[in-house]
Amino acid sequence: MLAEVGTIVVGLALAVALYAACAAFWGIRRADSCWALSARNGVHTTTGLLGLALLALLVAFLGDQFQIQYVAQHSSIALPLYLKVSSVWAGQEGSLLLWSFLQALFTSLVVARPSDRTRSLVPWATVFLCLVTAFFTAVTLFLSSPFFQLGMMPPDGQGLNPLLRHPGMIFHPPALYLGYVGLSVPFAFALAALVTRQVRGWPGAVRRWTLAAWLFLGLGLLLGARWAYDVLGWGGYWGWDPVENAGLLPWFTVTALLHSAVMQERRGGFRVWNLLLAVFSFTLVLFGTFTTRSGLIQSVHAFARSNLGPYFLTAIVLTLAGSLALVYSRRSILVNSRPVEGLFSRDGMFFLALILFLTLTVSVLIGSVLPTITEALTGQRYEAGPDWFDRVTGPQFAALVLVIGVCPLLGSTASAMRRLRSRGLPGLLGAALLTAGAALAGFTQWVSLVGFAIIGLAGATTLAEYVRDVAARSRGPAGENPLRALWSLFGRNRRKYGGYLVHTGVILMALGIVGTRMYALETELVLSSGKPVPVADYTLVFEELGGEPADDHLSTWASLAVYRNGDYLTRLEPRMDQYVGFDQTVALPALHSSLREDLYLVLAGWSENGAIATFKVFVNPLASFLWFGGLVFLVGGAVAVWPSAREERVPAPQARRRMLGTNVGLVVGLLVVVAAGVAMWGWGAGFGIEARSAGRPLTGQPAPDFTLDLLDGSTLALADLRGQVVVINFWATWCPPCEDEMPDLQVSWSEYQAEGVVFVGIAFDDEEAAVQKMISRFGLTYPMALDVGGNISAAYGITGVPETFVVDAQGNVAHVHIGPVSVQELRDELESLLEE
Amino acid sequence: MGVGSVLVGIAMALIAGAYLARPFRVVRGGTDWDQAIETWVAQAHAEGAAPTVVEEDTEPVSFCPQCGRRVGPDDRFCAGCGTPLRGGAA
Repeated sequence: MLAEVGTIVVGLALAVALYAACAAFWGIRRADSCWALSARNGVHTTTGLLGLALLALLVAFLGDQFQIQYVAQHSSIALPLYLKVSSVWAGQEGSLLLWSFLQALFTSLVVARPSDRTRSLVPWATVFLCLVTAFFTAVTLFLSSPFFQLGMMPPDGQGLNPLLRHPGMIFHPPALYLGYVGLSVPFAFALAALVTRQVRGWPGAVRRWTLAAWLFLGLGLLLGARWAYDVLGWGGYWGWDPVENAGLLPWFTVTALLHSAVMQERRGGFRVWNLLLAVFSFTLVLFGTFTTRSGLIQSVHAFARSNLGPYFLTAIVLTLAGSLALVYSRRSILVNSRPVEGLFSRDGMFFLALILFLTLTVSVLIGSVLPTITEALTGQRYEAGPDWFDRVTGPQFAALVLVIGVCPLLGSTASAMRRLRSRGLPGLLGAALLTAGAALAGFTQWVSLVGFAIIGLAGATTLAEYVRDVAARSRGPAGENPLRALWSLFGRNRRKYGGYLVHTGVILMALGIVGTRMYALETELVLSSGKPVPVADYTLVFEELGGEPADDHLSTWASLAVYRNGDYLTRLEPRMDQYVGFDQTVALPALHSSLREDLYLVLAGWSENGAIATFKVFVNPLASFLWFGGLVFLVGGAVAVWPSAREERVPAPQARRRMLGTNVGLVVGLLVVVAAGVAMWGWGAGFGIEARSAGRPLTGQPAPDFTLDLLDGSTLALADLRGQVVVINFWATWCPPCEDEMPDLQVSWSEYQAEGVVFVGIAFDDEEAAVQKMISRFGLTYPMALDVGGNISAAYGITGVPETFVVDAQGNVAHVHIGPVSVQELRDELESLLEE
Repeated sequence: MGVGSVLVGIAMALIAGAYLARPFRVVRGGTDWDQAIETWVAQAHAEGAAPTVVEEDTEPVSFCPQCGRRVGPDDRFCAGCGTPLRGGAA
């Protein structure tokens, strides 16, 4: 019944959306407010109905309604509650329903309380927005319904794809959809502006919508990148995959739109730019959905090839053709003959930035469709791989960062070159410092040094802007203290300082990108238990392998001790989860992040007995700057979106109500952004780390000294044994492998005792009575003791028993055995040590 | 398609229909009507003529409390009837 009601509700929503579009149009044509109000009611009804349908789907998931195919495909009885909720958008059908709902919701928000500036455009915008809502609802209803029922009820569902169980993947689709849907608003207003010929003020009227859509789109992209880094296990975060590009392309054009909107507000030109950018952004949203859901461009994480392609293609063609025709028909009011400023002015730089965003869009677009086009034309696919994209887009990104750096230095007109000289010093200093610092730190490729110079320039210039503005406020008799000054600056002009913060975030991300793209190290290592292997500055010691069966998967983990420059750093546990139901293996990397670089380990394979394991090791320099920069970027965007009280001039009671509503909405939105950011970076990051205070000594390092009270009453100090070879064995009576190795140790002891080798057995976390029993059972005659208090075990950094350390005559650790040791191994090692 | 679902569907359609038809039964002269007129009729004049609704950022506009004439933000007396504007009832 739930599925049937859901389908009916979606069908009803489609009908109402179409009605609303027609009613709004009729209201305009007839200047009849009854029709207009009915249209507005229709918009709210559509939102309510689609919300109900979404709710029905959610209830179906929570109620394990597996007779619904979509629920059976993505959920299971054992799935935790929060994952059942996120399963709603795990597949295409649910995603499209969510999209339709969000589209209707945004339409409702647009028509609910139009501000003074949007009021005249809302009627036509409603028509267009309702048509878009109707399109998505129709696609959901007829082509991709989440309510399709199987003939029977399976006992359990297939469960959620294991790759989607990461917090990044939970928030990534909704964030992206909020961005995509948000872009329909500037689009609708652009068309409305064209139709009503009110082409001058519309970008400012929808500024907040554009900014919010841009912010959510950016959040979605960052979440996707972080997810890829944490879960996919290939050491990277962005592969220029067609699905990734589908989200990036509209982001470029919206960023351009934000900047050109500023231009139009301040200087009045750029009318055609703004209109076209709004149209292109939305078209690229449709294009992105089209490419990801039609299988047109084969993608690493492709959804199943579906039947949606032709419909989306039609929609794209209609939208583009119609919009361009409209722009052309209104060309007389769009032409603006303002004097063009020179390149070296703020206006000129803005224009350059717009050009760069456009070229970036075209570059990535060409790269994405290249395989398909070449296949269609020549029969052979030419793939544009990540290297191609990096090489083509890299210089363009660098140019953008340069523009960020140079822009504050320039005045409004080209004649203000004087300003450049007086303000340019911090930038030059920054460039020099960062380049020198990077070169000293080992980043010596000349291309990257150019990148560092640009980043240093931009960073120092932006920082100087903050400092200058704060100093201006704190100076003088009425000066505030610097922190308060900073706070009030942000409060008074959120747009400007939010923008500065976003630019700061971009600069930091650029730093991370240069480091990770140009200096990443990737290698594959085969490690034997206990044997240290050097990689870059690190030494890795594979300790042991373990397996844990769970509900629907088998988890195999490997633990490694990590040392940097000989000092113990941390312990990492990369995992491999094998999901039987999905026939899928998820390799979860273990990560150690520091300011300088990320050490990233992936378990690739292992031997039957668990003594040997293969790892992929990645060293990603400056990766942390990328994520930190991303956070700064998001915070800056949030600041810029936040409304300030002075912008709205509305009578007091209404203002208070509207302020409350807006504030509540924005606080909630901000909380979501922050929570998503923290959940993703706090939770997902550092997966599989277990840091301890001390680690095992590496071979070649001195064995930690100790003094033991042996069970026979005498005392043994390691320092006294200098000049002799010592075998230290940590064991316990409650450990079966320790029992296995006891005879071997005794045999070895009797063989080498005469040569002056000393064996010491240290019982860990044990009792004397049990130890004595073990000694008499195996006839052990070498020195034995209990590690009272566990201090010696801690000093040696053991992670389990048995572990054996062979110490040479100079007092340094020569060999480490993690796990039981055999007579032959000891024989080989002791022979070679005694020869020295 | 079960009977229950159909009934639910019909019920929802009726409710929606009533909500959509509501504006057509609004008493003329009520507040909804005035607001709607202001919003939508202006739209009809948008083609060709300059709209009465502001399309760009302008300064806030005030009206004389006495005679209703439009006055500028810095005016101290109304140009139509002479009523003081600052510090008075305005």
